Amino acid sequence: MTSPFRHRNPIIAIAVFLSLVTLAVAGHLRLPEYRSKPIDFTQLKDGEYLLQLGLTRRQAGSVKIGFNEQAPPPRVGVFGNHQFGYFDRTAFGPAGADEGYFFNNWYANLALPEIRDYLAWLNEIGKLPTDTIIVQVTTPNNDNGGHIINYNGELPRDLHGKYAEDRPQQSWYERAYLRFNDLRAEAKIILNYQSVLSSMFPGGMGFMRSSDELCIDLTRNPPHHGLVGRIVNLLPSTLASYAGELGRQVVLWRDCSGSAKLQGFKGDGSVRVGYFGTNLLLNQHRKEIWLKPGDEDTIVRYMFDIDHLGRKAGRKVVFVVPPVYESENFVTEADRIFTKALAQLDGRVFVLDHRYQRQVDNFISFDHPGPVYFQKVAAELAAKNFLP
Amino acid sequence: MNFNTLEFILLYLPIVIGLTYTVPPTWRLRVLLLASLVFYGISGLLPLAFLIASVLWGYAFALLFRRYHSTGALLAAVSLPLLTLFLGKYLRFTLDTIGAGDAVRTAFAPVLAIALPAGISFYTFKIISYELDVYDGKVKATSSLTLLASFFCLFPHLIAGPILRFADLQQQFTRLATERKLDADWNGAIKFFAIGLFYKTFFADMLRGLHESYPLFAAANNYWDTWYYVLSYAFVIYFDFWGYSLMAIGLAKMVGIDFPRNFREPYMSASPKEFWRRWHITLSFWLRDYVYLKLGGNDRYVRNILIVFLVTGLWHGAGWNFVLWGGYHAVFVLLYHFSRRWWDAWPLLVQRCMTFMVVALGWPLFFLRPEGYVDLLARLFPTNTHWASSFGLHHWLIMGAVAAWTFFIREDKLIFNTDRPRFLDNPVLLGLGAFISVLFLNYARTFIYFQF
Repeated sequence: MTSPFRHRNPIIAIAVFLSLVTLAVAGHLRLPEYRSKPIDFTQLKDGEYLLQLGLTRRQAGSVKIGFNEQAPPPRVGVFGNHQFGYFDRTAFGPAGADEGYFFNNWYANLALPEIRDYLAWLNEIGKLPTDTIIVQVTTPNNDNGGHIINYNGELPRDLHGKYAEDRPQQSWYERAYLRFNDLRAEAKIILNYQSVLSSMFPGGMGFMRSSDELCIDLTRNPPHHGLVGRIVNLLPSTLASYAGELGRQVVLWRDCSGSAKLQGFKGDGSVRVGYFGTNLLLNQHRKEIWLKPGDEDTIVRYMFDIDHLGRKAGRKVVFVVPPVYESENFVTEADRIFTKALAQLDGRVFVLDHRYQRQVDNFISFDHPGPVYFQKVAAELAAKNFLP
Repeated sequence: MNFNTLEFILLYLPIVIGLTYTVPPTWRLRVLLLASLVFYGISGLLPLAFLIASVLWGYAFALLFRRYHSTGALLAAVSLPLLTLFLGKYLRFTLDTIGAGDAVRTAFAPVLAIALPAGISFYTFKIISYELDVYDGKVKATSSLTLLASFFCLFPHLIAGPILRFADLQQQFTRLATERKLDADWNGAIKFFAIGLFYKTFFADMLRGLHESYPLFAAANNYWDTWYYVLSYAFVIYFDFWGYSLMAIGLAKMVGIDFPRNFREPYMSASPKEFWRRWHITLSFWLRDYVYLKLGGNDRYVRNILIVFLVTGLWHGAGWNFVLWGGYHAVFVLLYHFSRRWWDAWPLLVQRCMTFMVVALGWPLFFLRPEGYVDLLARLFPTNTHWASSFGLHHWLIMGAVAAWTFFIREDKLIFNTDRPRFLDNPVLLGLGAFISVLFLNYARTFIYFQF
């Protein structure tokens, strides 16, 4: 005889699991968004930063989308992911000092398909950069081909698949695959510990401003003296931020002192140096390969689409493939596939292929080029008349 | 497709299980076979073609043995699976070793362009063991292609084992296709899957992230950091593979199939020899039965141990570092054999410590070239204490927690208990644990053994 107890346990376990998934979905729908209440990046002067704490990647990135939707477009815009986080206006010399010259739209792990969707949206609302669109392609050797052609679910739901609307000739299979990708990306966003924590504690710090001046003050007068301050200082930053103004001061002090550095956007959308670490590790080749033979056709298609979109709107489009700091694995399978894609493009789109520019002074950390590299990029673009 | 992905857990698995329980018994194996081929085919049609070709070949030749029972037939039988394995995994290594010129490489370019098919080493060994067992009369060749193919291709064990024998599981698969009511052990299924997922997500992947932050190519390192780098990987690879195996056991139980246990607290081994009776048990037994005993077993102990472990090394990867790793273990197994009295005289705790250190110091050969490995060993010595450490107290505490679980938790009592329900049998805990693991799947890594 089969004991009824034998089947009870799994039903309870499955019920608990599904209930928690349902709660996660419900919580996610309650998350505050920052797109409709954008933060004006132009208000951030040199030495001022926009810090973010306890937000999902999509929430953090949406603040730039909201800004782009409302502010006048810059003359030069960068679109890519964290690899280009340090690309700031100083790369352009005196021209970059002009507030409306440059904005860096770097955004989490954005890859070509989502860059394409993002640009399609900006084009639709007339907010494409007015002169030059710089598109960063993730270095093939960075994540072994990852984040080049994959959808990562970084963009808001309404922008997902935006470009597809321009292509009514898509087959049912392509449309179904796109929809499946949408749902998969959405599930990854919702069932993520950051999203769940944010939905459990929706009134957290979110965004706040800091500055070099404030850091000097806080360093001189740390906020966590007294019993209450010391207790708050024991909490992780996400929880400490709920302890009113004292909690926020503690979080800011930690950021200033470097003990818990937060992501800090500058006025031009770039990130302040040091957030992504300063460890000049050599890139350690991962075993998973995220590109397979045949993907070069997909890479070419996305690059053509983006180039066509920009040119049709009268913009100059340039793709930049940055290097990563490494001394071995120069030519991996992912790298070979990308080289095939470039060969297919055959100069029909403009690409700055810097994959092998591995001089140490180009880097801040192994997969984040620094100011020296971006000055070289800007100089090369200027020499080729790509900059206004 | 990986087990530790949302699309597998929330989409693929419910559909496959739902269909398996809904269709008539005679259709169950077909459903599982088709689902498994879809599971594998997502990684590419060419690897799928390799798999199907090997399975068909194994099926056909096993039947042919009835008529042509000769050494030539046996060699022909194992030729295609081995050729597939060679081309998919060892061709580039062979060409590099012999210093093949451009002309030769160009001739093989279409083959070299194919990425290593996932699980090729695993399914090749399963097919070969079936052919050998049929040849030796240990099992009758089955005329049911569906039965055999569903055994070889069943998705829980297809890519990273356990390395199963048809003789051992034939009855279970036959029952699956005939019994009206599928009486699966869902209690065990959920438990093993949830614990395996937790092991993989938190013990393996999180620790792997910390492990990889070691500045491997720096000019010099703090020697404590190097020890952290070496020791952390020992836990990473164990929980990565054991987590996978537990999930595979759980998945198989969902359809009423019992897989054998593939790990038995290997880091509690008291000797290098015992380690191989507790680590990747199905591979060890496969090599014992089909290599060691076929070569004469204990009659030529030293030679056969060397051969078995060199094969073990090569099986894991196409590279001299893997050969060296196999040789490393051969040396220690032999050293133990000849110094057994001295070794066994130590207290058990000391024996276990020595064994763990031997095993842990060998793992870096999985991902370092021989020269890099020698360099790493040199950095273990306290010659460089003035370099700033990359690993802080919290790194060591995290690894310490994983180590404490490894050495102090008795899995026979807590996970494989049969006497009474215990802490890890709590369904609320299992549901919660699985949910928390799912929340961290964005940081998941592919199973290390998928590359073998």
